[in-house]
Amino acid sequence: MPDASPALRFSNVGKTFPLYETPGQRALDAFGFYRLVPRALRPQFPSFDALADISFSVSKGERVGVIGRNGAGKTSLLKLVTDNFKPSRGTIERNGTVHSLMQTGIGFSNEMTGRENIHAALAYNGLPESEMLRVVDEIIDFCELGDHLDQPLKTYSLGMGSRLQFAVATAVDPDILIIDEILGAGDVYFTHKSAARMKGFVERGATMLIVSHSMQQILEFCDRVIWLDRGRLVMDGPALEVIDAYEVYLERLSRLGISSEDPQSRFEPPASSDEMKTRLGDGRHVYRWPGKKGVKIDSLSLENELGPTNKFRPGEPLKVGLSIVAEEDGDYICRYVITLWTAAGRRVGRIENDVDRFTLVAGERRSIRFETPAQVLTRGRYFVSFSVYDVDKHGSAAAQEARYDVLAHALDFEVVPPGGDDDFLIRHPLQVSLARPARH
Amino acid sequence: MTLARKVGDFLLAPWQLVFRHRAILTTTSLIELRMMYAGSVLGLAWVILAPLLLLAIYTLTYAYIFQVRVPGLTTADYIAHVSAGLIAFLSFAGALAGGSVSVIRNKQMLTSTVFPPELLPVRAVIVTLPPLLVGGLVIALGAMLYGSADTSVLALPVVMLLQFMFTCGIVWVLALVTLVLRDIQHLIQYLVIILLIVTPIGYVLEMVPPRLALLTYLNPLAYFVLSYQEILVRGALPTGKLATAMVLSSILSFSGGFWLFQRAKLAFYDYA
Repeated sequence: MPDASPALRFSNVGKTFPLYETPGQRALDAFGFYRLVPRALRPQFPSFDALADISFSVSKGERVGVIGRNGAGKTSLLKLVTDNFKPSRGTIERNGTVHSLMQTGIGFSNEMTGRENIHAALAYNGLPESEMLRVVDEIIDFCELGDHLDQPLKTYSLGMGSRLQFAVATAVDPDILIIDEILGAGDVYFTHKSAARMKGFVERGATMLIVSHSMQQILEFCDRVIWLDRGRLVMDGPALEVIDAYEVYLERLSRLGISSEDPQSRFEPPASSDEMKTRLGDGRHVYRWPGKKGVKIDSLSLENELGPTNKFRPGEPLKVGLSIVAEEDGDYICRYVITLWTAAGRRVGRIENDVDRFTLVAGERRSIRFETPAQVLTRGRYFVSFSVYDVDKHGSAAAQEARYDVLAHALDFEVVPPGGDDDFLIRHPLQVSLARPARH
Repeated sequence: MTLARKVGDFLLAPWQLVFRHRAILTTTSLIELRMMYAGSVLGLAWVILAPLLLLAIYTLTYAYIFQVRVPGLTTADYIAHVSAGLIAFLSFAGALAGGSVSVIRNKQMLTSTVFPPELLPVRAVIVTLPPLLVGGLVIALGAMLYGSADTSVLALPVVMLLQFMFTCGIVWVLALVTLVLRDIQHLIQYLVIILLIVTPIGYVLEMVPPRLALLTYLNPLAYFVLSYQEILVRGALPTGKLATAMVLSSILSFSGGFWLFQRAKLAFYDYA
């Protein structure tokens, strides 16, 4: 029977920290001394809202990413879920056991061996003795530490250490898992291995709340994203949608010369995702990154051999069209880059031309078509991003300054095989030649 | 009825916490001990070796080098007197030092949902117990062979348990206060020296001028030290006022300290 009650619910949650001038004031306030002072004489401390009026709820099995700039309140939010920190306002309900992967390094000692560290850290993760043996073996297997296992941790390389920590932290099986920036441990090989381990949580139906600076990771694991900025909830919606809006916001910030890491910047985040969207000439609403004046994309199209569509069969031709409009008269040299993405945020491929030289007067249009005779995609939903760059006559490098236009995930389409499943990565084009039977 | 119930809850609450988490508490305390000695050649053997070494040094210094003689005590009794006071004091001082920083040094544990931060101070006290237990055992054996102790030593575990309770209570409060008043960690070492002076370890209570004896009675650690000495030096059980004061201060400290910690923890964790 499906359980309708949410795994986690924040209702109007706020967290405020007073900003004391001295540790002495902090101590006096903590001990309640100021409450004894008449209200009129009581010192007023400025306060800082780490979180303000946050409401959302997470259903069981849902995986939610939390994004935002530094100081947005992401870690504060995760801390509140652990129940050791109390919200200043509002309520938090939890349904099920919470486990947090914020505290990597708990129970770890440099002098103890890898094996001792595994035991110690697992004990702190509350793993019962009866499961210890099985899990320890599994971790040893995962980490591939070999002979180092019985050496002190201090002899480990950074990568080996973080592998061990990751493996130990993810050895438990909670209902609600909160993760703070721990997926980036180790080299590419282990990043993949770690991702596979994370998928395990997904398959077991764990509810997850993930903070990461890697949008790729968020897209890979989360269906939904919450965007925080300076303690406020800016947007809460489908992962790709929110991330696209967030990236447009970051790009606009950097266009204004504001460091995206500066939490004090006064450029207000949008009230809704619509505010981050731009309407194209063909009526589409897209996430447009700011670019320099020159040409802008005005319309997009997607066709198979029969005409416009957003459903393709494997092996069908894929025709991508865009038209650009000039904002001012000029001789232009442009490069168009079209990128294909999976719904999980993985880049599938990139199509680009060499250079396109043309002259346009303001308001004039130019159409460009890219055609692949037979796409090699398999079942799934795909997104298409478009960019137009200004290049010099040698066709070299497009810095950010050279960007005319970028539309992130502006089109999407599905590839549906006519019958049966195919779970291949690509569908390879193929010509079969059969030798004629030899005549006797 | 409700009042009785409230009092019962108040007294039992810390025991429930310790009992419910006994497995993780035992394992992590062992890990903590192992960490303290990790990388050393002798490893965990130091847990036993350290108190033995200490007792040997003090015995040698007081009885054979300084040749201290206290009227009414044989040399063996005097050694028992000093050692008994010493192990109680060292365990307590170690717990104050380690316990006061137990939460602040492990603030990453505050994000843990498995290991309740309430256990951090308890763990800090537990890791100071081996010297007390090992030392107590050695002194008990020595005092039975060469001194005046007899079956009275059977009361030692009770006094040790009471000292554990007393210390936990103090450390719970100190650990929280240290979160906002970091000065505590610097202050503790001087507090410990004062404690060493006002506790009858190297001297006997009869040597203290009556006007200053009050100071000893205001020092709860003295109740435990005097009780150990009663058991190990005189072969008697602590009775009357001494036993009452010890039992009451232990229970009050244990349950009161825990109550305070529970009431104030969420307000204080924010400062970690």
